[in-house]
Amino acid sequence: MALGNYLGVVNFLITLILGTCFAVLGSRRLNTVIKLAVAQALLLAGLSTVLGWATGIGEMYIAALLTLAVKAGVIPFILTRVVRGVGVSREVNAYVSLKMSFLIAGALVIVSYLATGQIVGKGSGLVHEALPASVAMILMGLFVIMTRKLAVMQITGFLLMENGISLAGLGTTNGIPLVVELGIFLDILIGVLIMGVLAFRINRTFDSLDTENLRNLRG
Amino acid sequence: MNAMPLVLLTLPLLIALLSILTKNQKTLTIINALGGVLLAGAGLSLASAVFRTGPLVWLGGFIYIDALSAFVISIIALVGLTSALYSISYTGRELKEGGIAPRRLHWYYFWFYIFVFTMLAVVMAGNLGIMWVAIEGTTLASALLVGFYEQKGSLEAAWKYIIICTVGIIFALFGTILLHYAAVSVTGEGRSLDWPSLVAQAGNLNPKLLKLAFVFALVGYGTKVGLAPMHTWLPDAHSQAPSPVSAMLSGVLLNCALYGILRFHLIVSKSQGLFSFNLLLIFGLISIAVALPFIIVQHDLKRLLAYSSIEHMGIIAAAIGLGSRLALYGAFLHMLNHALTKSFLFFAAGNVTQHYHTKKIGKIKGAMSVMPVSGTALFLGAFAIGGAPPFGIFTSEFTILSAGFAEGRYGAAGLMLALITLIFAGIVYTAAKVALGAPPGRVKKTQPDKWSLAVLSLSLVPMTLMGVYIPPFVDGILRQVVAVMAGGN
Repeated sequence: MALGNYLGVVNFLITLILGTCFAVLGSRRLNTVIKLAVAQALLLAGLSTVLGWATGIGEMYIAALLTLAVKAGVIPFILTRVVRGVGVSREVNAYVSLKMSFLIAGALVIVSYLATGQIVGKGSGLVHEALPASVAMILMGLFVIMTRKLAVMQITGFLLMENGISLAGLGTTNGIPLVVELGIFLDILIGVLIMGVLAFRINRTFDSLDTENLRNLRG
Repeated sequence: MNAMPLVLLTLPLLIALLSILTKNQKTLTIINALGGVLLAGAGLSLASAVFRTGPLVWLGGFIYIDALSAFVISIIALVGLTSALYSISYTGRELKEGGIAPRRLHWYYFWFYIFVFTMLAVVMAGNLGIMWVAIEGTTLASALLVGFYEQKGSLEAAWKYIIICTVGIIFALFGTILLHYAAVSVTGEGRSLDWPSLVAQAGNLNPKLLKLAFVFALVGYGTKVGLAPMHTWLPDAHSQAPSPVSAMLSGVLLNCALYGILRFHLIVSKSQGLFSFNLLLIFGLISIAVALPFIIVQHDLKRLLAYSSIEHMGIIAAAIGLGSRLALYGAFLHMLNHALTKSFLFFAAGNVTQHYHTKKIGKIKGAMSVMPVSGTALFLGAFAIGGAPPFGIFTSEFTILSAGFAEGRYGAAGLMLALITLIFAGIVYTAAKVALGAPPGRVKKTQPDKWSLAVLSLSLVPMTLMGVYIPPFVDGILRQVVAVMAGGN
């Protein structure tokens, strides 16, 4: 396939996408995090387009357009509304320090490359680098959800995980069937909307977006 | 015949739409009661058509309904109907006492029927990708129902529910993508997530990827089933939701999520031998064991029922893990019995907690003398869910255990027997504390309204009948489901 000529570009884009994950881990300001989510979505759409161009699969372009509209358009818009509505702009304290976050994230990337190397042999799949990178993104997203306290940060962590899945879908199998892809986008969109509504209500009831408050149900 | 899946899928959407368009309580009651009956009728007639004539394939394979799907559709139809009717009684009292603002009632019914729609979509999907979309849909549709009261506890429960289940289910999507990866070169681009073609080609798929896909699906969908140790959201959500919703979550939703695992299990077990059986057995046993201490020391009536759901999903998973035809028969009989009994218990407990204005077990006493119907129902239900004869759960647990011993799995079956016995003691002890004794002076004697009475008797009859006599048509249906599970298509 003609993909060989584009492999450099593809791998460069995947590296940049991983870079945005690290940047999310390193930022405390909510507006910066939303901008990083947009950047990641743009890179993902770019990757989709390049792969579509290289392989001639038309569905890749549709995936790129959907990514642009949903992940770089509507979802950041909703998140911005939530951040503005609740009047919280930055996270004051997290469970894990910045330095520690970077170290752990680095470790997660290494683990992902080692682990997926065991499973898939060399040269399988459309883009060999996509699977380890996507596993790393899923783990980093999970890490964000577990260590960040603000509800909006947890929504962003969910988006990182989901972008990791999209990357896996793109890189391993020429994209998943279009109907399924549409359904997944619909789920993410409604999911972020409902999480946003809940974040509003949490803020109204607790006077804070801090999920530290959400630990009274036990036993 | 071909229009039936379409009718069943559009009906709940239509009811949801009609509900959101009106704010009048009377009109909402009529829409919901009529709609609930129609929906149950449509579901049961579609299921019986499948039981009579075999699998139904529609829309180029996007909709695939075999005996296993039809069986879960019947459960959705039955418990969906009783929960819808009980909602009338429950929300009626909440409106009177100011628990729910009248202008928000139509949102309750809207999300309720969207929730039913997503669950029907889960079991009707013939494509594993669409099934994932539908299972994630069930979380989204029910999250706002869990948080419906907008109080601190319910918002906490709703947030944990949506975050933990969404994260869990993302792992299931990863598993689905791995399966797609394994299949795409074998089945071709278009068919790569179609369940029947995956089963047919199971032997040709990369075994490593197949096993890995199953592990991710088990962890992901297992989060929604409430399998330990991914169950942490379940007691919160099931106890904080309005009681009719708790009944739907425990009685129906958990089965739909388990259905998702079963579809993967059926593919993987065809080529990978005991791998998926053993994992199901282990996770099932761990779930039963984890539920035990929380049931023994529980202080919240609805959390008690929630932990009991973890136990029973564990029993079903373990029984499927045992894998013999008898164990499978017991597993699906248990699925039906648990759905009926647990929803019955949540209805009774809903009435009791509403009347006492508390869920704390220590503060509820003498429920049987204050509430002769609901209190007695709660007491009987506790015996039923614990597995005492003559109730259905006794029969299904007995079937599963004897299947385990007959297979020579003494360790697994013995452990299950010991845990079930201890849990029985814990539940009955708590129920006795709640139901018997002298009621606190502030609580007045009351009789249930006609909706509660109807719903409680509607559930009590089958859940008791199944303990003494399994009607031939139920037996035939269960045998068909077992044939799907044992044969693969």
